[in-house]
Amino acid sequence: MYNSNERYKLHWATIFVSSLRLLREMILPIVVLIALNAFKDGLDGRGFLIMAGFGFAGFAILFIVSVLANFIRWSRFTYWFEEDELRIESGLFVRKKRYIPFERIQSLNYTEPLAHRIFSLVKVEIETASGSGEAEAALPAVSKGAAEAIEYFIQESKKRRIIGPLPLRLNEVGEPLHPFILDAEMEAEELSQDHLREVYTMTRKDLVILAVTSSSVGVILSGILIFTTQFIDLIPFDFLYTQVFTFIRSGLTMVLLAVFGALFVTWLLSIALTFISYHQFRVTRDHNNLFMTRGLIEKKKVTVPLSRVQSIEILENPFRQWFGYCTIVLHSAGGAGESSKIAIFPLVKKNAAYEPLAEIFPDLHFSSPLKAVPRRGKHFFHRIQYFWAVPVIAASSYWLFPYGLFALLLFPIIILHGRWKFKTARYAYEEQQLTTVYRQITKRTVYVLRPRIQSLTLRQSYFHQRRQVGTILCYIKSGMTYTVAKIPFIGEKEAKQVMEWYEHK
Amino acid sequence: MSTEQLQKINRKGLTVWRIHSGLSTLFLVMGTIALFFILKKNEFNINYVWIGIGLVVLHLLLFVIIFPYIRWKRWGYEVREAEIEIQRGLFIVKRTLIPMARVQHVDTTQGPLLRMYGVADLTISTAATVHIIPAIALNEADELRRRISTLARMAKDDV
Repeated sequence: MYNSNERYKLHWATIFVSSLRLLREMILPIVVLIALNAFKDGLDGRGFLIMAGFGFAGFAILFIVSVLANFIRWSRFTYWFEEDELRIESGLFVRKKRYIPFERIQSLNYTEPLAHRIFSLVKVEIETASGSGEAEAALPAVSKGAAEAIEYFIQESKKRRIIGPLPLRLNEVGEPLHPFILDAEMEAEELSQDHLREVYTMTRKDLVILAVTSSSVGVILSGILIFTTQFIDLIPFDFLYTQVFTFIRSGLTMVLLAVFGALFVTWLLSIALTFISYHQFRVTRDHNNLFMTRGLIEKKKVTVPLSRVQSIEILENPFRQWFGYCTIVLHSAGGAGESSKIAIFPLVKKNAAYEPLAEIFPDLHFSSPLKAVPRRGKHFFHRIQYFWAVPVIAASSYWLFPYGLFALLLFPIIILHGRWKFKTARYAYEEQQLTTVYRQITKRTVYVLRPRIQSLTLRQSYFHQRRQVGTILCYIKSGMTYTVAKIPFIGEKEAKQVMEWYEHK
Repeated sequence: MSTEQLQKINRKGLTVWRIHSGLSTLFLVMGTIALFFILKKNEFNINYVWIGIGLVVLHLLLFVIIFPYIRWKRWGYEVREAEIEIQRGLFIVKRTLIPMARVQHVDTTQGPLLRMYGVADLTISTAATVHIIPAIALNEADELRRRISTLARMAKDDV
């Protein structure tokens, strides 16, 4: 049991880091507002200067107020270690005390946003096994030394229930006063059990391929959409409308060019984003945990306890499948936020992935023979699409007469897509493990151990029953919610065998 | 999957569902009445009100009489020693298996309507999913809850 008599504070730069973050969140909306208003009312130079002046003054006041508020918050925030607990107290009027026993701490996650990096600070998020959606507690900014000290205390206490004071002294901001002292015995144990092993480091070439084949184009497009809908009231539509109209009349080719141009730019943006967030991606592990570090501007270190891993997935979008590449993700039961889908190998050659995977997850089999789903269920893969496709085709053929008939091309596309999905669908169940492969566009291969399946559902419509097929939905915990692995249109008899397999101990 | 006959849910459950959808029929009725007065006041063709009446009848027929009945007829559950099986669905039938070892907690909940009829919903939560068995007689629901939580605890010890 260790008690530290000192109480530690966050690093003083927290005040500025938090204030800066507030400003950063405010700056874009305000600038856009000013710009749009100027655009709409056609301000002259002087009016614009006045507006800008007001904006600037507003910022200054906001900054001062938030610095004050953050100063108070900082001065009231303390943490310390007592009775094998991490104890945090904060708050001015409402004192908030949070005591977290070390053995309940599942993982520590480190983030270094840009502002933190200037002062070489880290944000530490503490995750416990509790069910609440967010991280149990967070230290918004501590120095790297202090962060290491926290990890050290927790590790030590978990390992050996130390009696008496630890050979580690900290100064008032929680940094070690001298280098960590490890006795010989401790060192030996560290080496045998807990030393970090390299699992995967992304090469520069892989990073480039990852960025170029990334499918986050959709994410960015929807981001732009959300952004525009937020400011939709401020956009001078009449003006834009006439502009767009003349633009369209200037030729269909121009429109197409513009669309492709926009797509190209979003693609470039997504490349840049991937580049920044996956810069220097590295996976290491010790006996119990996987550690993922990455990021160019914002550095992140995520810890996943291996015991919390629920399922492994191999994702192959058509691009990457073509070149034999894939992404490997895992679903973890821990973690803050909605779902906990974490990439362990953002991009690897598929046949090079099995070996390290088998080493990290010795319980899973990655090369079991897979069975196809029956041919009699083949048409169900596309038939459901007619629900929306037929009305769309009918409507566009009627109202957009000659050119609208091109919508008929949807039929062969839908049928081919269905055939593609049918060909992909595979499954296997054995002893302790369920494996399933299926796709919409991206091919998804899921490996899950039976005890990790929370519930299993067989779904059948009247038509499915008549052809004796059904879809199996397999619910797996992921963060606070679940992810579903499907076996689409498996034969009814086989489906019942899978259900039976799931039932039996 | 064992094919024993599943247990039906309480007939009162059907009544409660019907009252629920009946309430939305009431909105349609009010809409139709409003339509009638608007048509009359503005001297439109009064026959348009038949559209409203048609909708009310259709809604009554489908959502109050037929669909809840099919749903109720399909609904079945069985609490076995090692797992819970639930079957439900209107057009698409879903059979779900929940192993006892995966059950995290069991609750009974009761809204005002359910209380009027002396029945309760049983909610079974796993680490990821939530399953509801609707309209079980109150004493039966309490009994079932006790039984499931005991079985769940036992199943966990085995693993």
